[in-house]
This record gives sequence, structure tokens and C-alpha cells, in this order.
Amino acid sequence: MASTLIIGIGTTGLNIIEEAQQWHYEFTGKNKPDKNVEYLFFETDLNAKPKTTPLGTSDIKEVYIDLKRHDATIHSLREDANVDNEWVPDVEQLLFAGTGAGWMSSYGRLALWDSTNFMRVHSEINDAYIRINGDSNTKIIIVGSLLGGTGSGLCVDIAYLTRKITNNSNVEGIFLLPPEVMNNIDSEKLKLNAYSALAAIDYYTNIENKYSVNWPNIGKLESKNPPYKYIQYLSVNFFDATSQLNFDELLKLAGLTLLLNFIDSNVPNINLIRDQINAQRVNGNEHHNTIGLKMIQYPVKQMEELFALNESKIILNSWIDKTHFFDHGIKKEISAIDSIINNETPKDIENIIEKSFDVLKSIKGPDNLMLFENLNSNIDNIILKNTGTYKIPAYIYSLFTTTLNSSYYHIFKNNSYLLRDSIIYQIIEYIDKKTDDYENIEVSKKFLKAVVDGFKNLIGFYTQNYKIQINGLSWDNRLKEIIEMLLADKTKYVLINQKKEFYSFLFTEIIEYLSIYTLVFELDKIIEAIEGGSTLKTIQRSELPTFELLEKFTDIVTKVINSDEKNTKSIKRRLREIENVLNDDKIKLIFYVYNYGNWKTDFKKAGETYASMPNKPKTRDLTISSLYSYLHKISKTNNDDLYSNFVGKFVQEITSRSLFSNIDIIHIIQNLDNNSIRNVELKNLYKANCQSIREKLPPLVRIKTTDEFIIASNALLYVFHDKVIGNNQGILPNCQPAPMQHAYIDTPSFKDVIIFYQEYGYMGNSNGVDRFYKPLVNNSFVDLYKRDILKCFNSTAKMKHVPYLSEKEFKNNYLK
Amino acid sequence: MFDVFFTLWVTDLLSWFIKLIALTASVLFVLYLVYITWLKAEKTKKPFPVHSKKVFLKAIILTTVIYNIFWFLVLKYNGMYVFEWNKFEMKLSNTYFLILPILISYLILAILFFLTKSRIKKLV
Repeated sequence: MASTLIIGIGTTGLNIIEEAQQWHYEFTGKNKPDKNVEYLFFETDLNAKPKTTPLGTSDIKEVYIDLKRHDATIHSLREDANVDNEWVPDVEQLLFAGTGAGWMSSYGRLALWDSTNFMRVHSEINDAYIRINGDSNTKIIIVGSLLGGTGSGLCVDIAYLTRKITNNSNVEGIFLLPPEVMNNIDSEKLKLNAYSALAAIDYYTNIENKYSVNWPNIGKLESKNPPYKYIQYLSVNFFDATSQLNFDELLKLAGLTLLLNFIDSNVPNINLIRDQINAQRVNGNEHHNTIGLKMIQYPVKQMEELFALNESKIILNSWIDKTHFFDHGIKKEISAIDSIINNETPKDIENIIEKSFDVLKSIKGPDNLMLFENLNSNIDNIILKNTGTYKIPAYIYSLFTTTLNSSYYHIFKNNSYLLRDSIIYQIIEYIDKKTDDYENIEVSKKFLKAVVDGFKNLIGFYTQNYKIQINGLSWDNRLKEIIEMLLADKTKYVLINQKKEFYSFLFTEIIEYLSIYTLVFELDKIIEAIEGGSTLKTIQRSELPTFELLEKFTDIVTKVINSDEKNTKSIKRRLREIENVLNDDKIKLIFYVYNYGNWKTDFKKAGETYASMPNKPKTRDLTISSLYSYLHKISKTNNDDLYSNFVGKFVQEITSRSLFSNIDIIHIIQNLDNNSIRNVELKNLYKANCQSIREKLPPLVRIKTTDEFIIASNALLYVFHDKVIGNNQGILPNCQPAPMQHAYIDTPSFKDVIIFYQEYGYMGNSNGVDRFYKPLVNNSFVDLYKRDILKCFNSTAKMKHVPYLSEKEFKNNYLK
Repeated sequence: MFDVFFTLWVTDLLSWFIKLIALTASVLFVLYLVYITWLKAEKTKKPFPVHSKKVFLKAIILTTVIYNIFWFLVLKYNGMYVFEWNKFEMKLSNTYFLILPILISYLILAILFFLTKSRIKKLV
């Protein structure tokens, strides 16, 4: 099984991997092929987090190489005579921890040279390579943008370091080039970053220049080989178009280009796309190229996700609905359960209290005997008159008073947590059950309120009938009264020879009073906690349900449905994203087609199919555990978990139901009407001959008007789909496979899609020498950038933005 | 002693009084014996005051049965002819006057029964 290690550098590197992961999900339903592919990304900005796919998971392993200790790193590197430190930048006071490399290449490079970061990167690459069973056939692809500080700062070091760690020279790159025109205030910095990164790559790609670096941890690393065997460059600028791509589409295309390197690499006995493309790149002098790419897709997965999002929203909304709940699919008013609450809760509370009292029976008395055994020995003492100097009432009083530390009072007080824990567990169980039964947090709140009211009534009852008040002193007073009251009947029972039974009864009565006293005290604390006091937890850390907690659940669910906050996943935002993509007519190179003409109709039809289906997913199918414990667990982490877990599960449910028809994309294209320009364009592309298709795939870089990409005689036009129509015939009517002209490649996962792919790198033959694309020579932005950089280039700019080349090397080779 | 318990006839008012006291005291004594024996014999987890009162009720019933047997023996010994139900003379031989100690004993048992019953109701 061919293995691939993908390394993203910087936020754009992450974005490209995210897109590749998303594409992989859309084509296969999984985030990556198998254990043979690993996604890693190195980032200086701690805020950059990998996006999840609709499955609710991400397989991208983030490795943060923060610059928190950049000043210490700079000092230690500068003081270490054994490392190359000429390039090490000054301590930059404006650079704060966690904010990335501050758009300065030198700080991006510096992040890797920090010894802790270096060891982390080293071990992550090593471990990932082991996990994929890396060998000489393994491909390592480094992706990113050359504009930011991290990407431009790491692009050379990380390539050499990876080669060293893995002992594998199959290191390739996919990098985004800067646009021709940049209008933001930091454009000078970005231009310098990109230009210096391209210069560094170019410099070390030249076999006359040796990469020789003394690393802080692994010592000298020398190489005469280029850092990358091959690099593909993409930019928002078309070769021959006046308009440009939007950045999101460029990321999608870069992700797709990356995907072509590992799609179906877990399928045995298959001709990998990458192997077939590599076979055409026979010329060893060609190190850089760009691509032309177009894609026609029936976006089933996007629509499935959209559908799942809508259905999830309905369920999540029902959880937090303040006026209605669903009873076996029937919508009912929450106020309708008031009578149920009034009838059921008092009985339930009685059970809770009864069970809680049971735990007190396990308490041990002062003689370390079980409570009632201990009491029996006290009774014997009274009957046998072994009460010391005490008279009987005083003796009984001494057993239960607050003033003696060994009294039953203190034993109960010290063990009152047992009673409290038991009540908390039972309230959790109760609210858990009610939340599961009604699947509505507002209803759960009502039941919790009923519990609180029930407890208050109970306290009122005990206070009135048992005359118990919650404070230590009053217990002693009450104890005296109780003993006096009970002993009033003493003579009666002595007369009938029932002394033992009588004292047993007397102690039982006092214990009951003491239990109630303890209970009232604990109930008071529990009520206070439920109503907004400090959180109460059991010894096992189970948390008492409170109104605040239930409110938090509501907030979490509300946020997941409606949040617009940055860096928060929400259904609203994702719905908008998908709808924008499906509605966007400005996307230039990705075409969406639908079975019923537009996504809304396809969506409606799927809705009708779904409505007629039995056994729709229920909350329990999606939450697995009970709803209360599910929400409780999620409230301890973050909102994203609810989104990922719940929506992810729902997407899987919807996917398994095949709501969107399995119609062949060719059939859809053939049946497109001519009502829109886009449909016409699509049909033309489908019906075009090979030459016309090539012309419709412009290279994704803009080169100088004096230069020209030449379609080499061995350069193939690739058409990727999941099958070749009978007898090795192509799927396009007017462009059939021909040797050295174009190839149809079938790979099982490209089911609802046709991808047209053309590589551009050859630039003709001049005086008997083949010329190949070089970004710093051919790109149209080079002259503009050079002019701007020359205006602002000085030693400070060099220190911040040109970490790999000396000032002299940079100026002489790249600024003249 | 035999005459005090088993002979209905009395010769003087003092004998009647002795009879009255002896009968009621013996009924209460029998009740006490039955009660404490039963209380010792029957173990329960119910609250002691309730349990003891329930046993007391049962003891009253058993005592009544015992007293009925005693009453049967009295009737057998004295014969039915001693009762002249259709006469009410103000003499010591008045049938109603003669059986008054026995009736009072029954009445005491009945009062105890209903008092205890109402107390149990209050406790429960």
C-alpha cells in the first residue's frame, strides 16, 4: 500500500490539508484513506485549529511550534558557537506569544530552531513516518503558502529536516504563490517573504549550492540535493484571464491537487493517479510546475451534510424549545405536563428521601460497630445501669449531644456527605431520566423546580412537625425535649416488662430525629446549590444538576445552532457556507450539477424521500448515552464537541440512507438544459475535443507575456472519473484516449465527479536546451515585486524576512 | 373463693362488692398476663408504641374469649333457672343486679378496646 506523509506549514498549509481532507470525505466518506496516510501541520499561531469534516472529526495532527520563549531562544542561539546563527533575528518586542510568526520569515524559521519545538517536530515527523510504514516509495508532500511568516520561514528547513529524519528523498511541495496585486498595508512584508522563500528554494535547488546548517540539536546537516524533488505552484492569477480566482476556490483546488496524490492509495492493486502522473515527469531538470484544473461534480456529500444540518437543527431546537416538547413525535405544550409533575414528583421525592435514609444505616457507631449494634450496647448499659455517673436522661443526652465529639451527632455530621451524595445521585438519575423522556431542557428545569419545591415543603413539614431548626445549638435544646417527651412513657413499658423494647424504640426515635436534622441541613444546602449557589459534587465528582447547568446546556445548544462567533462551529454558519458554495456562480473552475437542475429541487426531493422513511434517527441513536449525560459531558469541554459529535453522527445517518439519487454524473450532464450560460459552458466542455479541453484549462499561475507554456509532446491531459466506459473508451464523446495525448484514469472514489487535469512546466526549447518553468524567472509578479523590494530592502528587512540567504547572496542573485 | 367467682347468689351487699372487685380485677389480671405474654412472643419491626397497642387489642379479644368460657362455666354451675328476667325487684336477688359485676368486666374490656383503637389511629 502506497503511503503518503503530508505536512502543512503555516495556516494556509493547514487550510490546504483541510480542503484535501474535506474532498477525501466527499469522495469516500472518510477523512483519509487508511493508516497509510498521515496529515501533520506545523504552526506558530496557536489559534489555528483544524476544521472537522461533516463526520465531526479531523485526522489532521496539529503541532504547535510557538514563539513564547523567542527571546530566550534568540539569546541561546546567538551564544552557541556551534550553530549557524548569522540569520537569527533580533528580539522583536512586538512579537507576542501565540500570535504566529508576525508575517516575518525569520521568526517562522526561528520557531523551528527553538530546541523544544525542534524536538517536537522531529519526533512528530518520525512517529508519523513510522505510523504510515514509510519506505522508499513513500511520498512526502509539504504544503503551504509562501506569503506568511511560518510558511516562508520553514519551507527550506522543513524539507531538508524531513529528508534527514525519514531518509527519504521523495519530498514534494505544493505552494501557493502571492497574487500580482496586493493592497493591504503589510504587502511589502508579504512580498519580501514570498520572494525570499522562492529565492531560497531556487538557490538550494541549484546543485552548485550546498545546504549546510549546524542545527542546535542534531548538529550538522549538509546536502547538495534540492530541498524538493518537485514543487507545484498555484496562485489566484490565471495565465490568460483578466479576473482572478477567489482565495477559497484556490484553497479548494490546492486541496484537490493534494488529494490526487493519495486518493484510493489504500485500494489494493490499483494504478495510483500520482504514479501515472509521475511517470510522465521523466525529465530530471524539471522541478517546478503548475496545473490547469477543472472539475464537474454532483455534490452529493455537500447536500447530505446540508440535509443533516437542517434535521439536526430541528432536533436541537426541540431540546431548547421553551414552550413545546415532542411526545412520540407529537408536539405538545410544556404547560401540559404541569399536572404530571404535580402528581408524580411528591411520590418521587418520597422515594429519594427514603433511599437516602438507607445509606445512614451503614454508618458505624462510636464503638466502631454498626449503628444499631452500637445502640443495643447503649441500651444494655441503661438496663444494667452501667451509665456511670449519669442518670438515664443525661446518659441518653450525652450520646447525642453536639458537645461531645464522640457522640452520634458528630458521627452523623461527619457522615452527612453520604446522605448528600445519595440525594445528589438520585437527583441526577431523576433529571437524567426526565431529560431522556421529554428531550427538552425546559421540561427538565420544571422537574428540577418541582424537586426543589418538594424539598422546601419537606423542610417546612419537618420544621413544623419535628420542630427542627438548622443550627447546632437548637439540636441540643430539641434533644432535651425529645428525651423528656419519650421518657414520659417509660413507666408504662417498665410495667409490662418491655424495658429493652422501649429503649430501643427511644433510640430509634432519636436517631430518626437526628437523621431528619441531618437531612434538613443537607437539603438546605442542595436547594441553595440548585438555585444558584456554589456547585455541589459527590465524592465521585458527580455534579448536582442546577438551574445554571441546565441553562448552560441551553446556551451550548443555542450556540451550536445559531452562533456567529469566530472560531465557533455552528449549524447556522456551516449551512451558510454550504449554501454559499452551492449558490456561488462565481466559482470558476469547479462546476456543480444536479439531478433536478438545481440543488434546492434535489434537496426538496430528498426531503420527500426522507419524510416517507420509517425509523428516523432518534436522539438516543445520535447521543448514544442519555441526553442529560451527553450534554453534561459536552458542557465540560466545548461547543464544538456537540457540533462535531451530534451533527457528525447525523451526517453518517443521512449518508447511510442514500437520500440523493445515485444517478451517473454523465447522465446529469447530458440532460442539462441550455437555460444558463454555465450549463452551456459545461456541456461544451463535455462535448469538446481534446485540444479544446486543454485550452479550457488555463495554468494556475500568470507568467510574463514574453513567456509561454508549451504542451510537451509527452504531456498528457488527464480525465479522472470512476470508470472508463467499455473497451477502454473514454467518458467524453469527442475526446477519446490516445497514446501520448490524453488519458482517462479511473479510480473508484471519483464517483460523482469528472476532473480535468493538465500540468504545465515545459517552456520550449531554446538553442537546443529545454527550458522549464521557474517561478522567479517566469512569473509576472517577479519584476513588480523586485522593484518594490529594492525600494525598501535594508539590513532590518533582511534580518526579518530573508533567513536563508546572506544579504550578498540575495542581492546579487535575486535583486539585480 | 369458689363462691366469689362461681356462685351467682349473694347474701349481702358486701359479698356483691367483693364479687365485683374480684371479677374486674381478675379480668384485668388475665388481660395483663395475656398482653405481656403476647408482647414477648411476637417480634416486629413496627414502631414499638404501635406494636404494643396492637398486641393490647389482640389481648383484649383473647381475654374476652377466656371470660366467655368462664361465663359459660358459671351458667353451667348455677343453672338457667336462677335467672328471672321478667322481674325487677329492689332486692339482692335481682337477676340484673347479680350479673352486674360480670357486665361491668365486659364493659371495661370494651372501653379499653375502643380507647386503644383510637390511640393507634392517632399514632398511625
